[in-house]
Amino acid sequence: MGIWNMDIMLQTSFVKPPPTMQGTAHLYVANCGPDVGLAFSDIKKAFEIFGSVENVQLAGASGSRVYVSYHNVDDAVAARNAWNLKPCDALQGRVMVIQHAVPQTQSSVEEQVVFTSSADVGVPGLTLYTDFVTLSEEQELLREVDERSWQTLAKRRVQHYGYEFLYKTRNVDLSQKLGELPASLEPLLNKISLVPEIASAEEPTLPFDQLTVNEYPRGVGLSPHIDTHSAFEGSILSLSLGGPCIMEFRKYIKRGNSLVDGDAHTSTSISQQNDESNENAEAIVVRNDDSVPTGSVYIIRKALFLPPRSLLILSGEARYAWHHYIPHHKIDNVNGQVLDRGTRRVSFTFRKVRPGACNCPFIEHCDSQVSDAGELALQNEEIKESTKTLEELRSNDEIPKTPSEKQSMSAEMGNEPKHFNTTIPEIEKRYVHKVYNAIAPHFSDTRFAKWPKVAMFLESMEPGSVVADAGCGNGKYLGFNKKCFFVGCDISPPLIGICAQHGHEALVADALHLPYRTGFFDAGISIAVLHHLSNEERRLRAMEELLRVVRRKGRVLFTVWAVEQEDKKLLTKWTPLTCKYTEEWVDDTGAAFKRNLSMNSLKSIQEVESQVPTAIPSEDLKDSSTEGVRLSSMEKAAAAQQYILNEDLSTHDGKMKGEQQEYFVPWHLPYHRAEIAGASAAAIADGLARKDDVKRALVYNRYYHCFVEGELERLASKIQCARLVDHFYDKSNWCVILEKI
Amino acid sequence: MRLLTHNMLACNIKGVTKGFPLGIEHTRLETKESELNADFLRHIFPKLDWKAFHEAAQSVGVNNIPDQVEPVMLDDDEFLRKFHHALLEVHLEEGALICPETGRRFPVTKGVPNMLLNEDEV
Repeated sequence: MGIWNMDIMLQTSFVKPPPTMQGTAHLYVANCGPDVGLAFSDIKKAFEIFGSVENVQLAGASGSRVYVSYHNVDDAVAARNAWNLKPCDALQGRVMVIQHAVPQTQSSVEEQVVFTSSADVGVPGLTLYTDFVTLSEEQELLREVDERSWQTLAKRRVQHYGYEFLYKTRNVDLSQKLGELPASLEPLLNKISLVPEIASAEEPTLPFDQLTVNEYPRGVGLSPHIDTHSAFEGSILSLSLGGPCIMEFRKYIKRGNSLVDGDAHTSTSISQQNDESNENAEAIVVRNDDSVPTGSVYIIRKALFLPPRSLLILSGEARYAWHHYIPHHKIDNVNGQVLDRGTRRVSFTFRKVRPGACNCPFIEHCDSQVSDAGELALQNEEIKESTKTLEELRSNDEIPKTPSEKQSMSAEMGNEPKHFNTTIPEIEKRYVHKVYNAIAPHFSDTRFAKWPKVAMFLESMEPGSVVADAGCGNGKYLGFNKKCFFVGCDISPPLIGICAQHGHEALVADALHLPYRTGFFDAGISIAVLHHLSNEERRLRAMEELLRVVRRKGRVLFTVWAVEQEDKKLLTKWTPLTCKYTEEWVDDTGAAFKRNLSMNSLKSIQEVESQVPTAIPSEDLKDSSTEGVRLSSMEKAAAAQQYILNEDLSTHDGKMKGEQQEYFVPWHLPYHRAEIAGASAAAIADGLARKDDVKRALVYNRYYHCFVEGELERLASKIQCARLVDHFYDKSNWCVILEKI
Repeated sequence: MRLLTHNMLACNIKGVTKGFPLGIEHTRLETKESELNADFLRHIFPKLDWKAFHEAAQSVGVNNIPDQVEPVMLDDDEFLRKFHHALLEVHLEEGALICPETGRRFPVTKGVPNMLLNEDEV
């Protein structure tokens, strides 16, 4: 399921073809269309030079990108070969970016079917009553809660009645009864008691004695979880007021593992999922993750639309074995219809506190029967779904956060001034700024390849656009589109000096504090910048800052290195930075070092920007890896310091245990270059670089936080003033295009 | 640094509410001719803070920029030439930009403003 599929404006019926597909009859043509003065008929006529054109249609909302569909693949290939990035005589010398496209088939549609009735959704024990309360009853309930005082959590506000729900333990304290539920709710509770699912429930649910009122601001969701079994018995009810939302129900099934659900329903589900003709359109994610050696993990997902004034009842399996989740969306796409969440959604969750232990049949999810059931669910989330990270889980508020994180999250609410730690972390100063300053000329001389997707983004700009390049490096994209005015900035003065020498407009500035007026620019780019920032707060801040300086409807492209590298044949030596690793590192004993190496079996991934990527025979891997981690004592100290600082965080979120994201990536500065730069002796003395006499180069380490799939989109979803218009993977980079709203 | 860039720069020191426009000190200016693009000028025109542009032009000795402008003037070739020259051809090579609220100086060296803030300024 794509988080961003609600963006119906830009939905197209074409997608990029898989790499195995050589050519297609359809072309994506950028810098071409009505907005650049070309009518469809002109375009069709021009492209018919190569053969019969079936159709020309807009690609997305811009008006300057089209899809041209030929009848024959060969004609499309010929057109692309002739005109891609070359002046096109038939269209007034225009230079277009042309790529093949394929019509989107059912299997490539990421969209999720959203059910609107509980009968269709097919989660056992789930019932939805729409219009359970009237408009005036809704208003009255909202008015009442607004008169009472709210408790502010990181992202939402809550009120507890009966018993307080304790987010730290995800349970209630039976000895701390707050009182009865408000008397004014009696008519509502009476009405609920007559609902068949409650009145004749197998497991008694009445009387409800605990109520949590949640207020979700627009865009805030709820991370996937199952309510603690031992805390509540019977059914759980949720009355939705205010705005609507989509609630997703997920069931995790781990094959070949003792945790597999034993009931018949589960096996039915799996076989259904494997059937491609399955009409229930349940999304299923099958992952063969190395970290789950016992077998594949299945996730069954079902989405249900919860309109305002509806009552959701979760009983039995739906309550005990299915995670429920509200995506962090501002708008939802309900089967093609775009629905705004509204300013807020207020839910009344009625539950009955359980006096003893739970003895439900869903043992693997039951904290009464499995000691670490809650943890298990969390770990499952971590392992099973790379698109979801602990951040999102923790945004649930029901998992403890570090103090600094709480601070930054509450700042997002906009209720309090931002307390942002503005000090640049040492690891960035040393392993990003200093290194780039030292290698600037050499870096610049090797940086000329322009990524096609960045080129396409820049080509699609309106003539006369003013573009901010935040973290522009040697300025290879400045002036890329001659019809636009580019201003580059970078924190490295030597790199900016190079930009200026090339005649570019450039200045020295920090991407986190851009020296620009708000809303001036028509567009922004942040190419390979965010991965040099060493914590999430800073990465988010850099994104927000670039969006700040862009006008409404202006677009910003962010690209970052991906953990998921495209070409795994090309192995280079990156040094993974992990907490565990650092402990042994600081120890600095050869034995500990080796043990760790074999444990981690250093992930070697192609260096995207390596000067000359060289294939290393697999037998050499061990040696080269060893070399890759030979760091100076100062490097160790600095890294250790950084990870001591982050220890709290990393222990909490377990990120370091899962996907390796933090790396030192070497830069080899040849001796002859180093002499030119005059930096070698000082850099070695400073511990910034080490000599590699075999390669005859100074080796600098650059800090990288590589992004996992979905991470960039998740960060983007936290930005209130932007919507995501595109996200893609390109040349081992994750990329998003955001539009300021 | 061109005056167009000057028109988008602001001092964003923490607590500063009026960090625009920056004052200009110059010890070296340079004129670099460039091709006039009328469409670009028309596009950029509404974005500019004209008062700031006018003052900046004066502070670098370009006195032929009117202090009041109307969009209709963009059809006048003579005006476009002056506009183009002041906006894009005059470069501040050595000098400084001054925050109007705090007086903080941002040095400009070899045409490059250094807008980095100190840690106590962010």
